[in-house]
Amino acid sequence: MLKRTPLYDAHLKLKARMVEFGGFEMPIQYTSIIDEHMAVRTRAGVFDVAHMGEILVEGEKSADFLNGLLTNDIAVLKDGKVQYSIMTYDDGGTVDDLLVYRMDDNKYFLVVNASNKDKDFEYIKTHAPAGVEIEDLSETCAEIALQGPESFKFAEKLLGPLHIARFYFIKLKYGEESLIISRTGYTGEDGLEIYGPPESIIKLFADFIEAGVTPCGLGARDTLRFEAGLPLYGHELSESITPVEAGLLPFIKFNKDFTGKDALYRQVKENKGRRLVGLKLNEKGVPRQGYKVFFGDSEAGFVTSGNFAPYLKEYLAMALVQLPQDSMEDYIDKEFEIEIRGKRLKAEAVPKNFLKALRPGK
Amino acid sequence: MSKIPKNLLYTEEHEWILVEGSRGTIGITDHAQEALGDVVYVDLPKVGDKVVKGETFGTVESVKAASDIYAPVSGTVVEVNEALKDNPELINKSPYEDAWMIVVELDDESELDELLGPEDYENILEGE
Repeated sequence: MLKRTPLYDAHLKLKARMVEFGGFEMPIQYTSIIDEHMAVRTRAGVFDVAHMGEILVEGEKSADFLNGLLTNDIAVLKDGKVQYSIMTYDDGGTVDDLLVYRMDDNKYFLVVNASNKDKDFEYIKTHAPAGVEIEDLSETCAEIALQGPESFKFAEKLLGPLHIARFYFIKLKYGEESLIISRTGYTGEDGLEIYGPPESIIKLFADFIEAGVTPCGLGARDTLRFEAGLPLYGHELSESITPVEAGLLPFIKFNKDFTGKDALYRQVKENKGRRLVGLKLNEKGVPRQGYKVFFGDSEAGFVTSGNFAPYLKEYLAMALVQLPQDSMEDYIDKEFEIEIRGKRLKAEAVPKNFLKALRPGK
Repeated sequence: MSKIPKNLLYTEEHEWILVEGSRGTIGITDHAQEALGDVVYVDLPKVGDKVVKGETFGTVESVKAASDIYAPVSGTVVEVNEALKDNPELINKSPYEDAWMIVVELDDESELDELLGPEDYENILEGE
């Protein structure tokens, strides 16, 4: 039986096309993925992301515990700060990538991928020492994301003035209820992620749409995150793909101990493993996950995510490839090929933050 | 409800064909484009290529997935809609007119008898 988010009825009313995702029945699109994508790049869109998992970690030792479990350094966080982090196994493979919200020095709110939530909860619980309490808030906490250059204009209309720096959050009274609002997102645009009790989130979602924000489904969420070069678990990260291979070094802190540190450190030192590259097709075709990538005459790896990027209007791919020992810069402008249904199409390496690198006028 | 023009013949795989003399113009139906969503690429044969009834002659890719297109009849490609190369979204906007895909010279006109009329095609859509 598929689960439904509190916004399920709202989606049906908006005539969304529903699909299975991460154990939930979710809207993939309301009108057109490309129209929804463009709304977020140029104005504002609102997403139901209530399928994401929320886990509360509380107790005196919670900071030390999480620091031993996650690759990024929690010690640098202040109250009200949000941090992107990665949870790895001993061998460096990825358990999940997640956001850590520091409520206070003994209380952390984790937001994890829907499809990994149960696995993550078990993993964290199994490793937690006495005195650290782990609570799954996923059933009681709903979430929407408001994304796009006009997000603040719409949010402030409904919620009043919002002073939030990037990667910070505030708590805000909304009627009787308390919301958590962070200046974070997964689209490459400025925006907010809003957490709260289901009733409040249902009301806010409807109010945003009433105010003129475009409802956006998971289809646009994927094309937006892909165009912005953001990793997705199951594509750029997995049990068999480490965050070092995925190029997430800024989020790995080797000056502290954590599960998987030795394996990741070895990968960095040896510098002969696979790496994630951005590719731009120079012929037309749509690269998809799993398609073979060639460098010169030899097979070098595979596509982890690929699609037509609606805003940049290019056919792009992120690919995990094994290359000789030079620095990645040496491969920019070198010739790659992607095999699409038996045909090899020419591609060139480009920075994998496609949006930043290729955005017109930048 | 999807549009189903009365002057065309259809396949169960949601292609249409307009027959004029010994030639057939082929595309995909309104229902097919709607189900695919935003089309971002289309791969078509070249003039002179042979197509075989029931076999794939091209691919339509949407943001979501790739779908094969099947030839409703056998024949030789005599015209290809080049406009679709640069504007694949025409398939969403105008599936029966601007987004025709290929014209074939039919090998065997009796193959047309096996295709669906508009009413039969409508019944199939209602059953889906």
